[in-house]
Amino acid sequence: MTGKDLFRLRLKHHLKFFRRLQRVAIDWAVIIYIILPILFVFFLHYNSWWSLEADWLHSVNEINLALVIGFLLLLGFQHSFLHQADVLYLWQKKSLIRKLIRYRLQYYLVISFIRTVILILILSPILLLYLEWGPIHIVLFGGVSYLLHNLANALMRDLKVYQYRWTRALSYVGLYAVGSSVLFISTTTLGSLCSLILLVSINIFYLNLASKLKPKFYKEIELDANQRSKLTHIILAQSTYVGAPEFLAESPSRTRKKPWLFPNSRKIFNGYLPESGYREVYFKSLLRNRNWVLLYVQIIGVGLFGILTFPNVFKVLFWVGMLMLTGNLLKSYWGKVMTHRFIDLFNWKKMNMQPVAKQSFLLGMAPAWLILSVALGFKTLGIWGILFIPLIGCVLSRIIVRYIVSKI
Amino acid sequence: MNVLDVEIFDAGYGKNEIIIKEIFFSIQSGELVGLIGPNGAGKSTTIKATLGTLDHINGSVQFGDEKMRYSYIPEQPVFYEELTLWEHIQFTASICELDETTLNNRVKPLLEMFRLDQVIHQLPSTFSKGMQQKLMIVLAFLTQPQLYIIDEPFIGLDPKAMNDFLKLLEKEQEQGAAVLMSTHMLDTAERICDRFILLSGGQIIAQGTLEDIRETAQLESANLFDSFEVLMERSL
Repeated sequence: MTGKDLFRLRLKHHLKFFRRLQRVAIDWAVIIYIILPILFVFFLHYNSWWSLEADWLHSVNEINLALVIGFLLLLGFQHSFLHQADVLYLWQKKSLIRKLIRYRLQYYLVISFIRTVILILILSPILLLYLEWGPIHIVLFGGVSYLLHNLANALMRDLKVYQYRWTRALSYVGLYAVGSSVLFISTTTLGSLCSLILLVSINIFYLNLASKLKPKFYKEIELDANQRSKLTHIILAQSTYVGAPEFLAESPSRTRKKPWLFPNSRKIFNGYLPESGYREVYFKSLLRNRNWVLLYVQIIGVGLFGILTFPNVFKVLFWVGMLMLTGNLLKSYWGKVMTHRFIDLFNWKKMNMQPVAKQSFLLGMAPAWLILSVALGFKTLGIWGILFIPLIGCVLSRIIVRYIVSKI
Repeated sequence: MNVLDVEIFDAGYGKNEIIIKEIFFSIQSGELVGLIGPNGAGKSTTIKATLGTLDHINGSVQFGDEKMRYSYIPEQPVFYEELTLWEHIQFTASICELDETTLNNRVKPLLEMFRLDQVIHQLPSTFSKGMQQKLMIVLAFLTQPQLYIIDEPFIGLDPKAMNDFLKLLEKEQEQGAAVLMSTHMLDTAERICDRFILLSGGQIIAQGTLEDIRETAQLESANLFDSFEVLMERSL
């Protein structure tokens, strides 16, 4: 088997894995209810970018553009396309190792090129119309972004393979700072040209250097496996929000012996009463459940995006919708906790759970109504809105909670 | 005084999926009753029917009085994935309205006895099966109920823990608590149980003291295992 054959075989396995994952997570319901509406809203907005109607884009300047693109360029992962079974074979045929690394890099350069082109195309109305850059400048800037992306990802991969965690964390910050600075310098045509020449030389130098490093196959395989498991987890976690069973989103292994939040089991609510007991279990369990917390944060994030970008009428509708969604999320989690098999272990004292649920939901909704109401207030009525809309948000939350509790 | 009266005509996972039939028995305070039977005899289903967690139950299950508490120790430990051992104890104590002093007085000796006192702030999902089972035992004894319903308690327990558990059961019995315990370990059951309920094919094939079982099996001075074997063969 040649290096090319081995690479092709592993690439085929890699793509097959993603196709399988896609089939599990994305069915027609996800396409109709999630993907199409998101695309529709995106194109609606994107159209307004080209027609210069998106007011918020007027506030985009070279600094925040460099900061955002700098962050986006750090996202990415170079797969090694290796399996455990290949390691022994590769040690026996060392000539294949360099070929395999070369194919991997070539594949990554192509993928990275496509990604950068898509990013620059999406950003082109901002660059052309709002920042008034010329086509040559945009092409040069695209080139800088592409080379920076490749270099950053190659560096990040090698740091993961050869360095300790704390060194990596510091290096990421450094990479982000340097990358954003280079991008900021490239916001002029001359700066772009200079950065491009510099990055071509550094890329060639680094890629030559990296290909001579002693391979650490097991570490690379571990990185690939971690990346795959992280991606699977994210995709399946999203699918559980649209009806897939929750076990799909659970972590494959729990390695933490102590929880990261309240590690010494400190009580949130005082006393040993049934009401406080149920509330305590509900909140601790919710706050320590990464998937549900992430969903809560996502609701707030989507709500903020809608409130900040949509026209006023839609802002209000979005605000109400997101508050209702938050209430519903809290109710679903209540059901999960209260129907847990642990409850069957004892003949608990019978009690009316509605007041406990009501207080828990009100408390649980507080961050959502406060953040979303402040955003809505500020965007619609300015400083007065910050004072009044949260009060209305509080009343609305109480109404939503009362309605939700009546359904328990 | 009866702490539990069970009159189940039939029960299962649906009207068309009947698992147990004609299960009639009662348990008095201070009594330890063994629920004995081979795999698939209906022991766990009988326990689930008693707890009221089955989809279909035709019959009635009555506890001594409405306020009476029971604790259930399941065969497979159950706990909240996100809560620490101590938080499970806090939760149980809160629901039972135990004050902090009573809680500490009761739980500390139990944690020391089962060697869980060093891991109280850890998540039980990271424990071994034996440690998880010990947590279930600690929680059950913390509430000091009038009835313990125990499903295969010895699986995963080390000999010391098993011995400590039996001593605790004995102490609770002396204080008037009743126990319904399903087990495969017939020699241990013979030694500790006051009465036995023998199940096979979802029905009771015999019940009573060891003497009663021997009489039904028509085997004088036989042990529980031999009597059970004869009764099983007869019921097939």
